[in-house]
Amino acid sequence: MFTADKVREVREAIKPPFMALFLYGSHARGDAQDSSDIDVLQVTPTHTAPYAVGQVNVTCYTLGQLLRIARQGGLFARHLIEEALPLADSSGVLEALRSAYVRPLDYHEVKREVRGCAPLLDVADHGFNENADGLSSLVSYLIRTYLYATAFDCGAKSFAMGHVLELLGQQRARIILSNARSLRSISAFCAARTFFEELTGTTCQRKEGSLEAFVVNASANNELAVVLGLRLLARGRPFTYDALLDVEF
Amino acid sequence: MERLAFIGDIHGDSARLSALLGKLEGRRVVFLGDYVDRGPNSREVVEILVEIAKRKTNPVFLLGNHEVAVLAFLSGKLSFLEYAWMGGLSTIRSYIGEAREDVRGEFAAAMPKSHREFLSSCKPFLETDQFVASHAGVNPARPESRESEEIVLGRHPSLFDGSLHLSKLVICGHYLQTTLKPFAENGITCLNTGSGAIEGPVTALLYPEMTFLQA
Repeated sequence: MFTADKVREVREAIKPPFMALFLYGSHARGDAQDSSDIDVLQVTPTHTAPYAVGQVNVTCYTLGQLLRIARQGGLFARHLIEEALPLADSSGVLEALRSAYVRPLDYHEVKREVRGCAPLLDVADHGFNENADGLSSLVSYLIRTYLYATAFDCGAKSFAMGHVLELLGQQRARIILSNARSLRSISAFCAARTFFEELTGTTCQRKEGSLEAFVVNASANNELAVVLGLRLLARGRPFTYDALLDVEF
Repeated sequence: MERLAFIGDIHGDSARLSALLGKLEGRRVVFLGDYVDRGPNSREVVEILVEIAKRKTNPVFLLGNHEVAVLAFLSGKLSFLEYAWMGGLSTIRSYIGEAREDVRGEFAAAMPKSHREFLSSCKPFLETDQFVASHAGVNPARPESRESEEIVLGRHPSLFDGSLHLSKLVICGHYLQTTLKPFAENGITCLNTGSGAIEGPVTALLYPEMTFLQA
């Protein structure tokens, strides 16, 4: 139950300006635990970095970015269309996304891109310590995205991770994901990376001698690897990677 | 009056550039900058322009913010992240093919001297009594300024709001026309119709006729 207190907590966390606000994730589905983060999408007029206030995680996209994701049939657009709850949407953003959304035949392309991101996880201990937050988030994101893509190709009905893991018989991923995200330690990262390799049938070994060189080569055919690689290189500095796609000038 | 052809942003689309050039015989060409980045064949575009510089009569190559960026990346003034953000990855690939480790070093080694000299030789603007041509137009707040910060690197969206009264025609690129058609109103002509960025055409303005060609 998303109580009035929770709504107030979200309202207080939001840094204006915004065109629309949506609740998504477990709180929107109604299957949140007390410890669950509150996931909020803030639709902003310009590119804005994500931020967090307490348990409230705020992801920021411009309407143009969301429409592009919807037209490409992206998982995030499907997530919003199927599960998001508007907290403020006077301009009809959700309806515009529904109209623009093109449902893909399958998620093979998403899985190909995620597999192609494996070399981003090729770091030694000292490399991990330089960007523990970024790498922990990255391995979690890649595993979750691959699980969602696989599950929807197998007929999954919701983005609830419990449902996805049960459908795929991958319940052990729950603890691996939880540890990677909460502990942010090298051992939790390595366990998650090994799981990722097994899940996707890939190896995380990078043939290029630098992350920059990998990003250059990935740019030939893997947009996801480029944006996630650039985010790693930004090392926590504000870098709205979708600005990469801003071709206005 | 000399017959000119102003050519807008190209952004690595060598096929469209070649197709357009075939329609411009007998004119002096004035390129408005942004030859590289985003599109797939920046190296080939620069090679074509280097050849034009040798063969055509008195061509003019103006500087775009992306030429400034590629030179800044090569000289270490712009980081890999910043250059990638501007769409430089495709330019790097067009020169080095497969990257191995030191991207900047490999890029610098792969770029022919003639290309680097060409990029360094581009001019910030071309001006006559009738027009001023520059990549980013002029700053409406200081229309007499010819500083590169304003006319090459600047962003002046108010050029397009219809309220300006400029003393001469302003011909520019830079500002993406998402309609894929050139903008020509109120003494402002903008020729960035999305080549290499949103699969738009390269656009030429035929001067003094003030008609357009696209490819």
